[in-house]
Amino acid sequence: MSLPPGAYEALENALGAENVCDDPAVTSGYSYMWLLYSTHAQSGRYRPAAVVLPGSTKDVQTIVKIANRYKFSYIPVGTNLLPPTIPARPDTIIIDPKRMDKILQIDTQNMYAVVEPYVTYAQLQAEAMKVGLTITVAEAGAQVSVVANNMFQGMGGTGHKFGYNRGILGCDWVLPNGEILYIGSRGNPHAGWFWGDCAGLNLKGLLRADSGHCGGLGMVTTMAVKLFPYPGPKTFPVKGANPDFKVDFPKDLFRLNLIKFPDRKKLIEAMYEIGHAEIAAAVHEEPASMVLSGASPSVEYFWEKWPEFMKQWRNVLSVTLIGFSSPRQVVYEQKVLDQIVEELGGQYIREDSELWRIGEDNIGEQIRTGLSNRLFRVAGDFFVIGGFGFDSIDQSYKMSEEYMWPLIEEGQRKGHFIPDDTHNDWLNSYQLGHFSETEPLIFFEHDLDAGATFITSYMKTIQEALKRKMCTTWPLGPMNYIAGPHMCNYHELVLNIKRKLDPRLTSNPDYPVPQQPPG
Amino acid sequence: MTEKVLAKVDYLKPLPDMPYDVVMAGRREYHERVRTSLADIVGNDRITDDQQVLERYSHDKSFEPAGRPSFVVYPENVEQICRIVKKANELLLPVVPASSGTHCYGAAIPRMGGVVIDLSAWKTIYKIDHRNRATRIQPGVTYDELQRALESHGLRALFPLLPRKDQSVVTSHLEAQPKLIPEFNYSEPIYTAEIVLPSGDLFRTGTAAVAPPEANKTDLIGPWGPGFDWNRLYTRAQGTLGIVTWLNIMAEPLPTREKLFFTPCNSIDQAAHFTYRLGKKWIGYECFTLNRAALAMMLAEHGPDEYRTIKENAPAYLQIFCIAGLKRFPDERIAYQEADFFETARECNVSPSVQVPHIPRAASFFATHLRQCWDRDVYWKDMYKGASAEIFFITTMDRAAAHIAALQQEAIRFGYDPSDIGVYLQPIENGRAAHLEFIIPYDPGNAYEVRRVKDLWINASEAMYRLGAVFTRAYGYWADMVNRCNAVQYATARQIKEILDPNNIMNPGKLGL
Ligand SMILES: Cc1cc2nc3c(=O)[nH]c(=O)nc-3n(C[C@H](O)[C@H](O)[C@H](O)COP(=O)(O)OP(=O)(O)OC[C@H]3O[C@@H](n4cnc5c(N)ncnc54)[C@H](O)[C@@H]3O)c2cc1C
Repeated sequence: MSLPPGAYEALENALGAENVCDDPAVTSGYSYMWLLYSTHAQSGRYRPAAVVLPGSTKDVQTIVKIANRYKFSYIPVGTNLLPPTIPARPDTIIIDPKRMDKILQIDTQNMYAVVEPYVTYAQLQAEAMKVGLTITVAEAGAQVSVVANNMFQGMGGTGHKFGYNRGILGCDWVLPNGEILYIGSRGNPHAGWFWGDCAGLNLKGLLRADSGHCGGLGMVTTMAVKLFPYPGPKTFPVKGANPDFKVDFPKDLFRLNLIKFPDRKKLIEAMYEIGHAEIAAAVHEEPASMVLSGASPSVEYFWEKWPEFMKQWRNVLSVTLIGFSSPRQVVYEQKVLDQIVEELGGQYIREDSELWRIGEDNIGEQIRTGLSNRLFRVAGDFFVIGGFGFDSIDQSYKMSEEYMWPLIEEGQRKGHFIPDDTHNDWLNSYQLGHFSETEPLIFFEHDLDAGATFITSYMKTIQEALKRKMCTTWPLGPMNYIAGPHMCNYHELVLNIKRKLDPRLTSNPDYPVPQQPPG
Repeated sequence: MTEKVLAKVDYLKPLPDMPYDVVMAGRREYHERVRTSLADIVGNDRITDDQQVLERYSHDKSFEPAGRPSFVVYPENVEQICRIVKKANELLLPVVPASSGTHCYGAAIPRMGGVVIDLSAWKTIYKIDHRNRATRIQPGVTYDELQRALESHGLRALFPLLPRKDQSVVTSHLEAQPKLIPEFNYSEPIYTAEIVLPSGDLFRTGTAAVAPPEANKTDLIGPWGPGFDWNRLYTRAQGTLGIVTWLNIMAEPLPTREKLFFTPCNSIDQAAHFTYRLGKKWIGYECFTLNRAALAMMLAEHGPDEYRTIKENAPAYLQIFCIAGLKRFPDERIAYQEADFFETARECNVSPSVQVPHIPRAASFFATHLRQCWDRDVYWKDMYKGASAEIFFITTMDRAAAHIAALQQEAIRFGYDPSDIGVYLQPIENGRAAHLEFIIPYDPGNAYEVRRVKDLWINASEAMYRLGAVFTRAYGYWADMVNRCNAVQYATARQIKEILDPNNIMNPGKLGL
């Protein structure tokens, strides 16, 4: 687990001893994967050889050059939510950007912010709101790194209006050889940060995809991200404290609608109609499990309410209207929505009902998400079933019904997933309904058996999607070897690019695609 | 062994150690071998080396130097393209794809000879998917053809400003020509694509990767991956990474009612300020600004005198803004947006109206031309003097004034009347960035003027770059200009090119690759 002789000293000399650490008490923290515990049950084996804390792009370049000289590998991380941040081999260090936590600039006129990699959504959104702007916050939570998330998925609650995976502008990117690649307008030394497409070959295409390169092609040390108009109060209007809080946006500019449809097909139709009418800022099918676990002050509360709530909360579409131009917009959009709801036989959940009381914080979750941690309390572990390809709204529905729910029911019969017969997902509209993706949530115990059932179902969804010529997304690391041969052998192109840009495999060696298929 | 006969005239000597006739015979043999190989694939009637035809592909409207292909082929299907590209790898033959009728920026001029694959006859509109607001089209489909087909399905194409009649929609999307509507969604309007890779293998992006369209059970909508963001990598690649054989692109609901507003502004800053404010309100559809010269170029139907009259009467800058209603409550939609539009105008001290003062024809012109190709023979940019040079790049609206001032200074330095330079400012993504375009008319028959405008064009391009212009569409000279100052980007781009195209057969020389 130790670094090659001289490497640790070289790191200390470059960064200062206080910014390099190999104390197991510290490094162990970087080797435990809370998420999908079963797959990483032995991950302690891969405790990083050291953790380093760079303070600048220059520091990162130095670390990368030392890694190349002494032949060890590194993983750049954000806030460590994802499995690819766990070392998969010894002699790997973690580059933790905790000291690089500054918002360097907010350009209100041209709507972007320049951030270092440890800036979180909560931090950035709080500053942006002060100047009438906002950002779409990933449902992973407002505590994640803006840079890491934008390179991974960048999909958030307000993606219906603000887009999915479309947030990256100019970047400074330290390549695996230690050189800085300037992305977008940064490529012109006189231009600044405002634009993401490069002059010349558009290498921004290598920075993002459905799940990015996961640190396998170096580290982005500064990124400009898109901000969006926000007509709300300067501070996030919240009363109380997590988990017992209420949000309170001005009703004339922000209006939440929770609409129950007679069946899921009608709900899907409504999503299409909303897209074609070009209204709304956030549109989601909200599953009962997500709503109740988000609103539950305790695990007991959840379990007490769940059997009845599951019956009541079915086929609910959450639609948030925002008056970007004025309250007149909300009035108009509400009229359009009313017409759609009437045509499709939907019913608004009444504001004086118990269901509304439980669901009303949805608007807050869409604008600044904080619920993902609460999803883990219900059963101990939680994730979404795999293979949720990003395509049309129809496609989301088809995948969900044709093979995702049958697989979930299999897990339920084994007693490994919590009972849930709603057949409702977190099914989302992005970019005014042009795109969609669906995530059936699974709650299961934090033990190896349930975890194994989950992982088997997850892999099966990917295989089912490919078998049916539907599209799987999110095949991380080794899973690319399953998807690649069915998808124009893209994994070979990715691997060739990895080998070219990172010939010594210093940068998160097994990502985006490992050198060998899994044994 | 053949006896060596040294060529008498040195500059004719093709190779130092081989007799001239042997070299020429070798060349002819190579030419015939290429012809036979290509004809075996496409058939004799779909390949030509007719000098007149080759001449047409050798130059375009730009200042880029001429370069002649050896052949032009007109393949019938994708399989033929794959075979041509595979054969080209064997023969180390450059391959240049072309889809539009008229080329403007040198991207389809062969830099190193080879074969042009002309896809302008590929006119299939495979599908119009109203539900998912998409249309899948081949590279030869033009804007008018697409728009006609979409309208019958209640949809519209995403138009750039007055495209040429023979402009390929696929190329326009691949080259990221700015769209008239600065909606956030429309700066990445490609869903999925089919690409013949430089290896000759077929690749499809996004959810199309999982199977060819006939067998694919998705809606071919998901643009991400697989693996990397290929759509982004291939956009503006000028054919250096492969040949796109179809695109599935956005097609949007056709307005049921619309209203156009014209706002005279006395400075670009005033127009920019107003446009910024509207972008934050997220209302309206088409929105752009023209200076008086650009406006006069579009509106003058009867030659230079009329051009001058219109130019004299036009405001310094004119912002054009469209508000529209869709299927549901169109009048209410127009009404609320109009109220917000006028409120913003008041705050910005500008006075929009439904007419352009002193130019009555302007309103009806724009009412019919926002979703239409340029319908006269001489393109509007060329109407004043017969030809025009263009400089365009991405910037922000608050920098437009500085760019315009610098360009005018350059014009004066080169003895060119700055008031004749057209300016087109197109906000992108609610105004977070902008496409700024300069149109510099010149007389192509006047050698002195051509040289002068070319010098002006080069110097002004450099001046714009120094002011922070981002030449995302790095054609010809611009590629050298940007590569010069961005060594790591250039080196990395070459590495990617080497991986995808190890024999450098795909449009070699473009983007400096
Ligand atoms: C419960 C849950 C819900 C989620 N929901 C969403 C969601 O709604 N929307 C969404 O977009 N995502 C979601 N995700 C996915 C994911 O966790 C996030 O996208 C995000 O990447 C996490 O941020 P982080 O700061 O923890 O990144 P990390 O986990 O630290 O890093 C993510 C990856 O990026 C690499 N990386 C980090 N920083 C850099 C850098 N500066 N340069 C290069 N590479 C880097 C890492 O090596 C790693 O491979 C979810 C994940 C979970 C577990």
